[in-house]
Amino acid sequence: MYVAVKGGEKAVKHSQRLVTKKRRGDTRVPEISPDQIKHQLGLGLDRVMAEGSLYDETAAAKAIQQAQGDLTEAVFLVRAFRTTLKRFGTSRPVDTTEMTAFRRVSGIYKDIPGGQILGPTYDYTHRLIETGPAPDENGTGPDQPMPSLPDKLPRVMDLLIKQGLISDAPSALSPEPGRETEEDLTRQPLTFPVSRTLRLQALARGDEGFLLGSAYSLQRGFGLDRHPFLGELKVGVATVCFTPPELGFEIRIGRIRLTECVMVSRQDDAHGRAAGFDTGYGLVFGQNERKAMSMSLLDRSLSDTDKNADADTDKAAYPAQDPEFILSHCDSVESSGFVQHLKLPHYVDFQSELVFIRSRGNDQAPTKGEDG
Amino acid sequence: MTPLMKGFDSEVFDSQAVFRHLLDAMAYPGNITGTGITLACPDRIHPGTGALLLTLMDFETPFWTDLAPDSSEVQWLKFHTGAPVTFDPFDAAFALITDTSPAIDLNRFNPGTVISPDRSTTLVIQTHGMAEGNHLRLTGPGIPSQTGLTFTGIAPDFWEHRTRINQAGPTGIDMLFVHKDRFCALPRTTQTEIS
Amino acid sequence: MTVSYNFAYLDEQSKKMIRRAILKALAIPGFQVPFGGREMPLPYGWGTGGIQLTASVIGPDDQLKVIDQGSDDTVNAISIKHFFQKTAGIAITEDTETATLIQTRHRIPETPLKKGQILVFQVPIPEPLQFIEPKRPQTLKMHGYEEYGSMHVKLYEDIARFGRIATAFDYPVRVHHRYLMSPSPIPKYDNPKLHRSPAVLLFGAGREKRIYAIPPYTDVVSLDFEDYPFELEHWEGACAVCGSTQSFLDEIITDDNGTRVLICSDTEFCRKNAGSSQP
Repeated sequence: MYVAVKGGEKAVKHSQRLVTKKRRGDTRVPEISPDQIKHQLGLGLDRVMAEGSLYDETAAAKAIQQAQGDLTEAVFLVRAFRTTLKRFGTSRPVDTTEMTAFRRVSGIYKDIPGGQILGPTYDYTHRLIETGPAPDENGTGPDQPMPSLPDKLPRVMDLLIKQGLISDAPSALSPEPGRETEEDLTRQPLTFPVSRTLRLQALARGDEGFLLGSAYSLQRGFGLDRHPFLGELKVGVATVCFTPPELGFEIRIGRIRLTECVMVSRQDDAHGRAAGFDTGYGLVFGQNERKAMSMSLLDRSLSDTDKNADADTDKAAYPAQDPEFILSHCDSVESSGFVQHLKLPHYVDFQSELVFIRSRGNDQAPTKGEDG
Repeated sequence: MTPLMKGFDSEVFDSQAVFRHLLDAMAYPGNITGTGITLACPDRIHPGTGALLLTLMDFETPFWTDLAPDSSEVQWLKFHTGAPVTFDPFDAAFALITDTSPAIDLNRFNPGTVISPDRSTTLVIQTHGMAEGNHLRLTGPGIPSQTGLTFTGIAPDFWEHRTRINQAGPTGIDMLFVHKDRFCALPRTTQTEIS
Repeated sequence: MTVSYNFAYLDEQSKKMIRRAILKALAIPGFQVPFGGREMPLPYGWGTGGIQLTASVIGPDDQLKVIDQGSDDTVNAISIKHFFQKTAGIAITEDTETATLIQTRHRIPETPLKKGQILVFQVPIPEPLQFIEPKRPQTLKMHGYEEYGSMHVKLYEDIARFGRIATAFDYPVRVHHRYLMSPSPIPKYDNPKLHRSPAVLLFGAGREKRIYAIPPYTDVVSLDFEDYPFELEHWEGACAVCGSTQSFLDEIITDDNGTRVLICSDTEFCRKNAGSSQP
């Protein structure tokens, strides 16, 4: 008698072969290269590096190719690669005033020291699918000489601090003293209440869609009672410095693209605090403006919950105010895995449910005997 | 200064072999077992102790011992594990007692908390000898009905003290007893009775 | 970008961290030890907790058996076996008796386990109180102070509605008369096999980053009430392949009318049993 529980081994092999074939697609069309992905799908690459929490353009490009452009799947590939890498130390925190910024906007001051830099953005384009020739053929013309980019820009945040306008200045941009290096989300489980260091780590690698939707819910009144303002959004290239213990002096180990965002919102005088602005912070690998802005809105709302309720998450009225709700559910590798595990066989559990339901008198089909 | 002695022949396979013996020892308390490897250790560290600590410790596990911090034994452990030495036994994830002649004050070690009973010190005690016997009767998880051990060099009131420390549960101190290249485990759940 | 992987994939420091958690888990039966779970190349929810435990325990002399739903040949079991063959070159067996290490999802083998064997469970939701209280700080307190009344209330509500306890799998247990524990989504049929098992039972939840254990010969009691005792599933009929009435049976639908036959979920047990009863 045939029982359909054998043959898994063979089926798995076939499936693996098929996905390889599908990935390559029609062989009459030339194969794309990781280099093409790196240079022409740069924003996708940035998202994969950010959520993969690994700044490795080659790995991210290969992952995108291998995942047929499924960025969440590519993030997973990068994470699984990252986990095998040996950790050899902690870099000096990047000084974002020394980023070479190619984009910088503020929504709160018309003119800011250093100026607004629009840079490359889709913000002011009309979203019309282009039907004409490809961009490299349609007369962007000979390269215009680019204005030189500033190497140093004051932070709008610092300007507000100097004017005494920030109500939570001490913790706004710097991690708690002494906690810079000891906490690492990739080596320890999240426990609640959670420190700001770990909160920012979790948000920085969180799923962009989840963070975006959660931040949006805040704006719609599910957690915010007034309009937030964009203090500063900056995209640029920063230098990462590291002091190897065996050398004893600092060396530059690379340049990385970063997006930094500070949101401010009014904080009235209450609980013994002066009136001013509270801040929320976002910092993300690559050019990821949507993500950095969502992150800073959530950083703001989660720290409110911590401050006002001693981290008692019961006090959070809305999901986007609840650190456990946001931080435990924002990781795409975790959520994607668990939602999709429902594709795995659950015959046994289902059988247990069947036995229960049948015992409730719901049994219409015959069971064949042993000789069936 | 004498040159530093080497550690495991193979970090991957020696630590795996030792861990499996340790897992068995912890699962079946009172079973005396070897470590599955040979390891030369500095004078006052029994080969069993060295194997266990090299298997368990790293930069994330603060370590306390009754040996002098600048002794060649401690230097050897630090070099091969990267574990930071702490002067307060309460902060230690692992603590090593090499000399059992002074009374061991178990209150100095961390029993964990009711919420996090796992955040407790694991104690490694080098004995003058141990064998299966009936001096100390053991019952609890991992023991089918009861088993027995005989230790040399551990004061009888130590066992009463251990009982007091562990009886509140789930907090407590888990212990590994070593003699030369053999060892056994008494997790907090193992109850002892002196006969 | 060249990649060479460690024995059993995990780096030595990660194994050390997991090994320490395993020892604590054995010392505090049923308590969920938090650990720095690593990302594995298999998705969360597909056995990453179990895989990390196996990777931290396994050695070159092991005989590994991997089952899912009781079967050695389901897709996820195959995938995990491939993983350890590739990363550790380990010997794979289907024989429950000779396996030294068994990783399982949703079943305990029918063949009784022996002293020294290690059974690793893949756990999706380690917290037995998760659906009563999803907030972790709260459940930590409930475990700390043995506040398990809400679980009894939930079971009692079943009795009020159905005249019996309705939980069919992942049926909660008390371990060593202390911690309330999820046995993972095994059918309640398997719960009695946990009680005073001679084998070492390890549970790994990768996504939730927790490890817990039941040491050998430890009391494991399925929650119930004096007047509504814990009871097992039973079937009208026997396995259509081996004739067993002493194993967990899956229904197989054989036609469009929903006609069904019963077959052992434990494929290795079934094959052996068929061999011995029909030579």
